[in-house]
Amino acid sequence: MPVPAFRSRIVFIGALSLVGLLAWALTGRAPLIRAAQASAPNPLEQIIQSRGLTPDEAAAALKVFVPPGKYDDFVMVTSGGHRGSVMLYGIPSMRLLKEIPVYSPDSWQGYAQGGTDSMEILKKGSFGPGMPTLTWGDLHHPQISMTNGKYDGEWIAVSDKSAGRVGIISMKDMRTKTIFKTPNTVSDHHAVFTDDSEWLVQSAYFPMPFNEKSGYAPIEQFKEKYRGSASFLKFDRVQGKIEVAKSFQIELPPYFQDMSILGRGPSDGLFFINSMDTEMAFGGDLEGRPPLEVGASMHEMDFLHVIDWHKALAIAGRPGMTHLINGIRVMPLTTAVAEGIIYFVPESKSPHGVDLVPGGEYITVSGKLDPHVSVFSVEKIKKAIAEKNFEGKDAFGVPILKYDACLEAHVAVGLGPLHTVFDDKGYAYTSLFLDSAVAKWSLGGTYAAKNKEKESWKLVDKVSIHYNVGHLQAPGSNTRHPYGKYLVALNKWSVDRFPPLGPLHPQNLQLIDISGPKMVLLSDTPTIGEPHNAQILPIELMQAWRTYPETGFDTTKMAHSAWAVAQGKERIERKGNVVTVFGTVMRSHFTPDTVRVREGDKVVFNWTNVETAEDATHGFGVHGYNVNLSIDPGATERAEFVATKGGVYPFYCTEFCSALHMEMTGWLLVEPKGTRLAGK
Amino acid sequence: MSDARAPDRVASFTLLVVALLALSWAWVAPWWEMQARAPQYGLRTLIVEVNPRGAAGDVFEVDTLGHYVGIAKMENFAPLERRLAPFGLAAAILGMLAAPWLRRPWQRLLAVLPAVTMPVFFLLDLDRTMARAANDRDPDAALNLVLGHIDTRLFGEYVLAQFKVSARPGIGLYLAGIAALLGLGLVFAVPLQLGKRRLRAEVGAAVTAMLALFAGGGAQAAEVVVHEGQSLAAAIDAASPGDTLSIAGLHRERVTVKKRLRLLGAPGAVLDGGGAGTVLRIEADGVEVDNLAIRGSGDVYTSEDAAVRIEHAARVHLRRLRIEDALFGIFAVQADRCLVEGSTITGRDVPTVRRGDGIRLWYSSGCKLLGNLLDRSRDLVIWYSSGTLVEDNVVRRSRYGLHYMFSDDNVFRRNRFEDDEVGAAIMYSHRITLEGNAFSFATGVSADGLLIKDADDVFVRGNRFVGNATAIFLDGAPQSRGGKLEVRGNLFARNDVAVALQPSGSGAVFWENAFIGNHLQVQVQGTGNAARTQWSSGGRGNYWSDALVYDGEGTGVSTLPYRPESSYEVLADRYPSLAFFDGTPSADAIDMAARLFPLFAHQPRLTDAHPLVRPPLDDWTLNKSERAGHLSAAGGSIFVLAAVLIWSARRATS
Repeated sequence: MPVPAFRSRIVFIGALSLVGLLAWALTGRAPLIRAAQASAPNPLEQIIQSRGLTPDEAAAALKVFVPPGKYDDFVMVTSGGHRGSVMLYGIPSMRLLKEIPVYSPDSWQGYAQGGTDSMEILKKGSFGPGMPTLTWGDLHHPQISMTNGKYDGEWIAVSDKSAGRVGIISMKDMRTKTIFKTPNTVSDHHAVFTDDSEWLVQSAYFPMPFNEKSGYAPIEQFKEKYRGSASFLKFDRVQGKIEVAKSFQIELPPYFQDMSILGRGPSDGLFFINSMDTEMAFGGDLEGRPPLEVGASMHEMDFLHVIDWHKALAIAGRPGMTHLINGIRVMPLTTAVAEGIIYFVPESKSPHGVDLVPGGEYITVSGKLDPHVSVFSVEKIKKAIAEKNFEGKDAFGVPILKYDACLEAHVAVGLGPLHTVFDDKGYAYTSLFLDSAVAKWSLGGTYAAKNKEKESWKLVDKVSIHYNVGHLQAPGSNTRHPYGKYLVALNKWSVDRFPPLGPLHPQNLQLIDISGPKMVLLSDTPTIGEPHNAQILPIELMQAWRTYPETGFDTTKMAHSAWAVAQGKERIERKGNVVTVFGTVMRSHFTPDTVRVREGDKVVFNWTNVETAEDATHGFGVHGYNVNLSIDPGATERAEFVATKGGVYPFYCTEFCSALHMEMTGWLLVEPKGTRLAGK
Repeated sequence: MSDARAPDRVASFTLLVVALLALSWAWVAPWWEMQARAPQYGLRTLIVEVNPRGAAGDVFEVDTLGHYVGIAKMENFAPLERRLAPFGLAAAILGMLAAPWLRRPWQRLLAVLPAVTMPVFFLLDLDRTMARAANDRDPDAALNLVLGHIDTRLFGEYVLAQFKVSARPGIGLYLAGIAALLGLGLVFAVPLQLGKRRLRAEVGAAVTAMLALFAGGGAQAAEVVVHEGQSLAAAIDAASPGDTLSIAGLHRERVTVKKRLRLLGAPGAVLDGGGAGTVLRIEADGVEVDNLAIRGSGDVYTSEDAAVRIEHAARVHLRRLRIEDALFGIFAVQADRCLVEGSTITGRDVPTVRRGDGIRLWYSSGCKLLGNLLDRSRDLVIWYSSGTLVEDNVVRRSRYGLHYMFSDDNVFRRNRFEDDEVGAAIMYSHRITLEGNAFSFATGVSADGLLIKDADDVFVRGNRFVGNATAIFLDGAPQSRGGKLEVRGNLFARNDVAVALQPSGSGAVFWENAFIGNHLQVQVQGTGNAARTQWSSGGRGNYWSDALVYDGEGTGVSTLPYRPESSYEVLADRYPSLAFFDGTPSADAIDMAARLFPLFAHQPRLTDAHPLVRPPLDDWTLNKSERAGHLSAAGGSIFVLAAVLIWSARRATS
């Protein structure tokens, strides 16, 4: 007789609950009843009630608030995507602290906005003769330089998916110093630093005609003539420059080599890249072939590339191992295969992320169509290589290691797993694109002692995300010693999270508290540009100069400027039709404030900010010309242009500087052809 | 028989034979062909071929498209004509056979009349049927308003909505025309004369020839038995296209079929790949495999080891296969219009993550999966494959009951997805119908009975969702302006969460569903509410087992709106352990306490203005319109039968 049994259970549970509730009430521990007992709400509760907050929301507000004058705990270095810049956000306040232009001009900071040196950076970082100077880039993944596997706060290297370039930002003044165009590649989705930032390693993304003089080969010869590559770029960490002569590339099959990681600890010397389109589909949807994305997702598996780059480095100098192609040494694929430098591990189709646990023992890969994260063991990979435990070879003879022999664990996390980051307590966090969620799971191996979970490689928590999370990031996740505490989900869509702002929506950064056993969503932050990925460093490592260390500083060469002038030595020189101004700026005047030239003259302005007061930046904007400089305290900035048309062109300080800021102006007098210079 | 007239007789005889051949061929060839191209079909051209016996080709796709604008299904067009067609053709052939022997021209004319008039009648009738079908549309169709009067054309090119249509006569029509002309020729030709014996022989030969022709060329096709111990691969090599290979016993080999063959398993026939590679590869159009056990594929993902792999081959039919001990079951790559029917695919007894897909359809349009059982497989995958019909299948103990992306115009009926990690995930697709399916006990880490993400025009009707962690999860569905997502007449019972929504979702309509005993009827992920989702339509909402209803007027619809905002639900959302108290007095006590002493504002999650008093649970399997169709058909036949009886009775008496 099920009905009486059911009833009696209800009665039993009911009685039990009532007793429990009574006990709660009597001991004053039931929050609801305790609240009812309080005669008047306290001021905090009044605020919470008047703002209509839930208790969770009130707690989140307290967690993210940074009082005036105080600093955040962390700074997130975020990419701006095809805005071509880098953003710095404070965590937990999520305040936008600064934007650093790299690939695109920025008139506020006078970057590539008529400034001679920054225009030169963009020009050098373009494709070269026959191609325009690029004024945009698609900045995907910023990397903070490391010393001994920990962030050192010295350099930020940024990839450019649109042009195969690397931009280098000095964290001394948060300005771009150089853009390096990597030969033989048109794309750089992702570049990573070694643990001591002596090397910056980049994978190719788009396969391209390789070693073809014309740079062209018909797409039908994709398999024969197109190739991918990995570029090992030697980084001069004093100068912040790439040394091409010491750098080299390894030719790879024409797969899309995408995200990558460099090993450390047990995986030191190995470089891992995940790939897609190992089908070698190249599209042609109007030419009778399946569309590219269809062709590129046919196979069950793509290949995790395992490259013994220390071995490659050791033999790269030997004769015949490399050829010089477009100014860089390239090791042919056949050599890499013959020398046992490259192996493949099967990985779930179309993966997004490949990530390394902090100690370097395991690699996590997630095929975005497989609801699991695959965890590969470095030890097992090495063993499989040593034992030649292969399940086949690809079309180019690269040995494919046996899948089961490399696998440590499968972690069921949810739908559409993309990227994984790590905290300091032995947990991993994976973004789930299809679920619009973040999954938290326990690591195994030596990390099991840290997280003390009963089960390793097991999902422990999930939190909903709004919406379509891409990358996610936690402080120091890619270093030897992650900091934990916070997680930021970089969400591709915001849909309804912000008031209507027109059809183009900002993206949404969601801050999540990961200090407790459950993840707690704290805040939404709209973005500028598209932040693909980020790195988060503790505030103590933010040791940028407050002003330049000396007056007359060349902000690109990071040394005393040949164009600087001391106060009292300001002058205007004319050589032929070139008029050069050596001037100073300080509150609140330009010296000189009157510059006379003839129509058709080339005018060269060299301004030195002689102030040493913090924040006393002056601008130099010229009416009618594409020139605006930001002359920071101590800096010498230059701008040159041809005065093409007679007339009077005021110049003025564009950065509000003092009580007499409005008066900080001057005149560029361009005498039309055929008239005599007045006043002389 | 004078010699002078012999050539005339030869001419007559030739006329007769050619006309007969033409007619016979016309019997199987298409008479009229329509090609249609539209942007949503990319490079694919939809082709419909019409013969007096009926229509073939992409009928399913055209029907599906027609459905949206209210055009009836092709199988409903001209039923009488199609039924009469065989008689007409038989009459034409018989008439043609008889004509040369008749003495008078008018007799001969009468005899060839069916053959002469048939093509004309076909064209006139087709024109009339088409014009009527295209314009006599269902006014309640989803997109009826996008079309005005449709000017159909028998031949030539015209534009219909976004379709470019090109219609032209088929080979059959030419043949029928030739036969008609030859028939007219017979009228004026010299009659044939034969002695009785000769006549008998001739007629006998003619009948034999006719039989052979009607067998559809079957006489040339050989049937070869491949016994145990004989090489199937060798038999395949030796066979000619069209042959049937009867397979008996156990065959330990891996074979590739590169010509149109029929592989027919005798009871107990087994093809065993021996644990390496792919067992059966099919690389030719029109291959049929029936009643065969296939097992023993390899276990390597990179080579996609499968029991059956179809690649670049159309119209492959697989029936009554029993697949086991294989990594992938059926792996179909660019296999348009394939059929998998009545087959059982059982995966290996290893964790789901180490199995392969039971069936994977990749870039294969117009396929049918009917009545299959997938047990313990990984996923049933349908990607980039439009116009798929999935009916009466069972997917159990698998990972994704259905993993479905970038595939439009698909229909799922009466399938059961049970004990899977995810019942069905439908993503990035348009125009999907799910009717009468059961999604039960999805309990993995993302345990959605049905996940619909970034999809439009999805119709979820009459399905059952029972015992899932989340019965239905909507994210970005519908997503486009004017996109529809209708959830109607479904049962949601005993799920942890019946409906989970992202607050961004808008435009979905839920009505006439029964929500019974779910821990949470509706859950909004993150902050926000489900106000952008519609919870009733035409004054009818849903049945909610936890609703307080009052039906003063006896309409079956409560006048009290259903507006769940209980603190208990909010708390249970935050602390899943509280779900233990669900439905107990302590849950009510928490609710009561929170109402008396509000700590924070209530946030109503949804409003159903017209909740139903009783669950609309009368019939979950049979579609109402289907039932109405059966009824009217039965009624109609009784009426016709009665009329015939009365008519014949009256004739007999008069």
